[in-house]
Amino acid sequence: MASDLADFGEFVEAELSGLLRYGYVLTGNPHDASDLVQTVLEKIGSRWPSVRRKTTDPVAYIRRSMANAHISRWRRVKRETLVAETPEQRGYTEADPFEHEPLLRAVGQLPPRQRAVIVLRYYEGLSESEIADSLGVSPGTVKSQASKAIATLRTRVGTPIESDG
Amino acid sequence: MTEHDDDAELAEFTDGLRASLADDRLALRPTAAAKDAIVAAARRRRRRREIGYATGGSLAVAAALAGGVLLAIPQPGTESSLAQDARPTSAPPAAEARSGADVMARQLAPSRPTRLGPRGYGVLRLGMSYAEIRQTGMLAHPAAPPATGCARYRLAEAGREVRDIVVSAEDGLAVVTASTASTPEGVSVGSTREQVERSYPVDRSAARYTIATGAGGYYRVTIGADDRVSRLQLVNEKQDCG
Repeated sequence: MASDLADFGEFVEAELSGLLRYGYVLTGNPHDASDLVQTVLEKIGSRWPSVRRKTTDPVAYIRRSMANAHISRWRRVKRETLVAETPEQRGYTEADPFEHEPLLRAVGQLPPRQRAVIVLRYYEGLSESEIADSLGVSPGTVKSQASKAIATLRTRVGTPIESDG
Repeated sequence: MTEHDDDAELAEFTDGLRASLADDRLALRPTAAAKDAIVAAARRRRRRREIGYATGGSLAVAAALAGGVLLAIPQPGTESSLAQDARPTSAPPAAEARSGADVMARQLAPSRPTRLGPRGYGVLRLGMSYAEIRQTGMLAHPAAPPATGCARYRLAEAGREVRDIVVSAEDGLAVVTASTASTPEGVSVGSTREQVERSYPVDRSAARYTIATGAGGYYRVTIGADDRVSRLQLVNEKQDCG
C-alpha cells in the first residue's frame, strides 16, 4: 500500500509541471488550473493501482479527466461567477499577462466544451475521434464544436479592437 | 476568395493557434510542497473510502460509539486539507476552501500575512510601486506589464485573504480589498456593525466608515443591508484611484 503511493508520488513529481500547464491552457487562469489539477490528481491517486491496470497512458487519462471536470465544473460555478462580478470592477483594467495575445484571450472566452476541443486538438494534438472518446461525445459533435470555435477565434482575432481608453 | 486560399489561410491560422497555446508564459511552476500534499490528500481520500466500505451502513452508529472515529469521517468542505497541513497559522474556515489548490502555483512562499495592518498587508506596503510589489512574489500574474493609471491585480496567496489590490502608476499601492483578512482589531467582512463601533472611534450608524490608521492610510468599511461589514479596504491617503 505504501509503495503504491510512492510510485504515484514519483509520477506526480514527473508530470505535475506539464499537467499544470495543460490546466492553465484549459481553464485560462493559474488558480483554476491548480484547483483542477489537484482535484483530479487526488482522485486518481486514491485509486492509483486500478488506474495503472486500466490504462497504459495515465497522463492521457488524467488529461481527459481534467477536460471533463473542467466542463462540468464550469457549469456548476457559472451562476456564482456571474454574481461575483461586482459593478465596482468597472473603471479598472484587469491586469492580464496575455493582454497583447488576442488569440489566447479569445481562446479563454470560448465556451468550455469548445475550449476543451481546441486544447485537445491543437495543444495535445489528438485526432477528432480521440477527442470524441476523451469527452464522451460523438465525432460529429467534436467536428462541429471545433469548426464553430475556429470560426469564432478567426472573427475575434481578425477584428482589431481599440484597446486604448 | 477561392477554396484553396481559404484552406491555406486556415492552416496558417491553426499553426498560429498551436504556437500560442505553446506559449512559455502558460508555464506554472509547482511549489516544493505540491507533490507531498497531493499524495497525502490521495491517501486520506483512499483511507476514508476504505473506512466507508468496511463499516457500511453502520458507520454512524460506530462513529457515535467510538468517539475518535469521527475524525476520520469526511466532512463536506474540508476535503482539500492540503493548506491546513501546510499552514503554520489557523485561518478562517472560508479561506480554506480554495487554499489547498492555490498553494501549488505560488511562485514564492512569503511569510503568511494574516492581517490587513495599518501600513499594508504582509510585506506589501501602501505606496509601493508596481515593480516593488512584483518583486515580493505576491502577484498572481507577475508577467503582467505595469499599467498606466490604476490597475487591479490579484495576489497569488494561498487563502485568498485579499480579494485584490489596486496599484496606481503615480502613487503606488493604493487600495487593498480584503476577502477574509481582518484588521489587527479583528474587524473583517461579516463583522457586525456593533463590532466596528466597539473597535474604532466612529460615528454611529453610518453606511460607510473611514478610519484613519495613523500610518498613511485609512480603513474604508462599508456596512451592508444586513448590518454587517460588506467590504473592508485599506486605502492609501495619497492615491488617485478612488
